[in-house]
Amino acid sequence: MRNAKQIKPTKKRAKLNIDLVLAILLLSLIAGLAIYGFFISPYGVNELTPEGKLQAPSALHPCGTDHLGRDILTRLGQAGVYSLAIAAGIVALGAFLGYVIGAASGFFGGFVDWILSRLTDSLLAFPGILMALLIITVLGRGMPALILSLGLAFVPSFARIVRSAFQGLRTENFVKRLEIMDAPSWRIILVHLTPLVAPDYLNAMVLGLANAILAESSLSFLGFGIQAPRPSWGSMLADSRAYLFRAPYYPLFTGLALVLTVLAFFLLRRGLDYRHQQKLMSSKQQKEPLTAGVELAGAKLELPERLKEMSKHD
Amino acid sequence: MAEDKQQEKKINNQEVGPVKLSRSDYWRFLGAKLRDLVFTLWLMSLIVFLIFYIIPGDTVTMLLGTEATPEKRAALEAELNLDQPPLERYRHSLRGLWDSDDPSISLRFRQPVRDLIAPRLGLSLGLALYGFILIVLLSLPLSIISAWWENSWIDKLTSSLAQIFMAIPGFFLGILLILLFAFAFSSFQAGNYQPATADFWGHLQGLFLPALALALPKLAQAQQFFRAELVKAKSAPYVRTARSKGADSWRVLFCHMFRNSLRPFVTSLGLILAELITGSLVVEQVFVLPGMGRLLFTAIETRDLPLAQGLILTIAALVILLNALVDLLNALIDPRIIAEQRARSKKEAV
Repeated sequence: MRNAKQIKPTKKRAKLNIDLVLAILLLSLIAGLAIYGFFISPYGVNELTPEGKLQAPSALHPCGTDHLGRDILTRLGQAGVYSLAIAAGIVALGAFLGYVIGAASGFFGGFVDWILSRLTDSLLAFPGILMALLIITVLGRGMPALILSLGLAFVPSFARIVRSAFQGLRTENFVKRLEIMDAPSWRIILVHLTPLVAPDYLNAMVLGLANAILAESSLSFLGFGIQAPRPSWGSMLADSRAYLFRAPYYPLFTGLALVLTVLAFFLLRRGLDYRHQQKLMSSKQQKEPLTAGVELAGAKLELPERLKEMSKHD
Repeated sequence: MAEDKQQEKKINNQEVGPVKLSRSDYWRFLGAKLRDLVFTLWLMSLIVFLIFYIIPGDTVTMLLGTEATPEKRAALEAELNLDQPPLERYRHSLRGLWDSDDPSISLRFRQPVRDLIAPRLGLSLGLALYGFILIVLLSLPLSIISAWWENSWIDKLTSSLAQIFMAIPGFFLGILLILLFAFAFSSFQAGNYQPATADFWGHLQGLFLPALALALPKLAQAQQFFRAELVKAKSAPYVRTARSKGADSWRVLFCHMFRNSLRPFVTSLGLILAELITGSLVVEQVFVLPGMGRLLFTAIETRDLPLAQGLILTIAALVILLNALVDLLNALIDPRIIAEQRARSKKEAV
C-alpha cells in the first residue's frame, strides 16, 4: 500500500499563484466598496445623517459616522475612486516622461546620458513628496497641480529602470545589426527594444500605482491633496486625529481601506512578476533545437515528423 | 599552491582589470564625486529657483489682493526682489540663506529665514537619523536570519509581515502606534516631547514612537532587499569555493557573503535615508513635533514664498549631501567601485 503511493506519478500542475489570487480578491473588494459608495449606499457623500456625529459602527452605519455625522463607509468608497484615478494619472505622466528620458539616456549614452543622469539625479534630491510640495507652493492646490507635481516626482525612478535596461540591450548583436542596416534610432527604440522592456516596465507601473496612492494620501493628510467637498483617505485620517480616543474606529477603518488598496497593488506586482518568471522558464524549456518548429517571417512552420525524430537523437 | 594563486590572480586581472589601487586613485575618485556633488547641488538650486520664477500670474496681486495701494505693492516687490533681474534674484535666493547683512525675510514671521530654520533643522534631521539607525540595527539581523533559514516558517512570516508594513504609510502607522500604546500601556503618549538639551534620555524616549512609525515601512523594504541579496549570494561561485575549501557556514556567511552583499544594500539605504527626511516632515505632524515639517506646511499654506524656498533648498541640499556620504561609504566598503570608476575614466580618455 505504501509502495503504491510512492509509485503514483506526481501530477504536473502549475503552482497556484497565491499573490495574484489575493490581489484580485482585494481589488474586487475595493471595487465593491466603490460601487457601494457611489450607487448602493442610502447616504450622500456629504450628507449629514440623522443619527448624529461620531456614532460607533452599527447596522445603519457599518463603519460609523464621522465628526460631522456623515456615513464613513460611503465616504471610504468614493475616496477610493478619486485616489485611484489620481494615482493612474500620476503613473501615466511619470511613466511616459521617465520612458522618454531613460530611453534616450540609455540608448545614446555619452553626453546625452551624462546630462540626463545629472537631471534625474537632481530630481532625486526631492524625494517622496518634496517635489510635489515645491510645485504646490507655486501652483496652489488642485487636481492638475497634484497630478503634475507627483507625476514629475515619479519620473526619476522610471527613467532609471529604462536606462539600465537599454544600456544592457545596447550592446546586443541584433541592435548592432539593425544599426548597420541603417534603421533609425527611434525605430529601434520603439519597434525592437520597447517590447523587450515592456513586461518589467508594466510591473514597475503597478508598483508605481501603489506608491502614487501612498504619496497622494500623504499630501491629502497634510491638506495639500484632494480638496474638501471630495472625500479622500488622507484627509479623513487627518480629520480623525482630533477624535482618536473617542472614535478609534474612524482612523482604523480609513487606514484599513488605504492599506488594503496599497497591499493589493504590491501583491499584484509580485504575482505578475512570478507569472512572468514562470513563462520565461517554460519558454526556455520549449526552446529545444528543432523540435518545436521554426519561426520564419512570423509564420510557424511545422517540421516533418522525420526531421523531429532526427533532431531528438543528436 | 603558490602557482594556483598566481593563476587565480591572472584570471582576476583579465576580468576586472588591475585590482591594486594607489592613493591617487582614491583622490581621483573623491574628486569625481565632489564634481558630481557640486554640479547636482547647483542644478537642484536652479530647479528650485526656476520653479519659483515661473509662478503663474502676478505674485504681488496674489499675495496682497487687488485693492493694495501702489506703495504697498512697490514695497513687497522690493522685498521679494521682483524688481531685480533674474540672475540677481537667483543669487539672492541662495545668499539670503546664510548672509546676515541681506537675509531673506519670512513674510509671515518677519524674521530671517535662516533663524527660523536653524533651531528646527536638528529635530527633523535627528528624527530621520534615529529612524535610520533603527532600520540598520534591525534589518541586518532580520535579513540574515530569514536568508539563512530560507523558506522556513520564520522567513515566510517576516516576508508576509514586510509586505504588510510596506503598505502602511508612516502617518497611519503613527496613529496606530499612538492608539496601541495608549490602550495597551500608558507610558508612551504623543506630545510628551522634550528638547534634547534638558534631558537627552527623555528626548530619545519621546522620539521613539515617531522614529518607529517612520522606520517600520522602510525597515520592511530594507529587510526584504538585503535578504534577496544574501539569497542570491548563497549560490554564487565564490561561496561554493569557500565551502569546498572547508570553511564552515558561519565563516562563509560573515567573512564572504556579508561584505559582498553589502554594496547594493548600502545604495538602497541611501535612497531610504532620503525618503526618511521627507517622511519625518509628515510624521512630525502626527506627533505634533516642532520640526521643519510644520514650518514648511505653514509657509505653503500662507504662501510665504521666501520661507518655503529656503526650507525646500535646505532639505534638498541635505538629501544630496547625505546621498554623497552614502556613496563614499559604499566605496570604502567595496573598493571595486573605485576601480570601476578608474576603468571608466581611462576608457573615456581613450
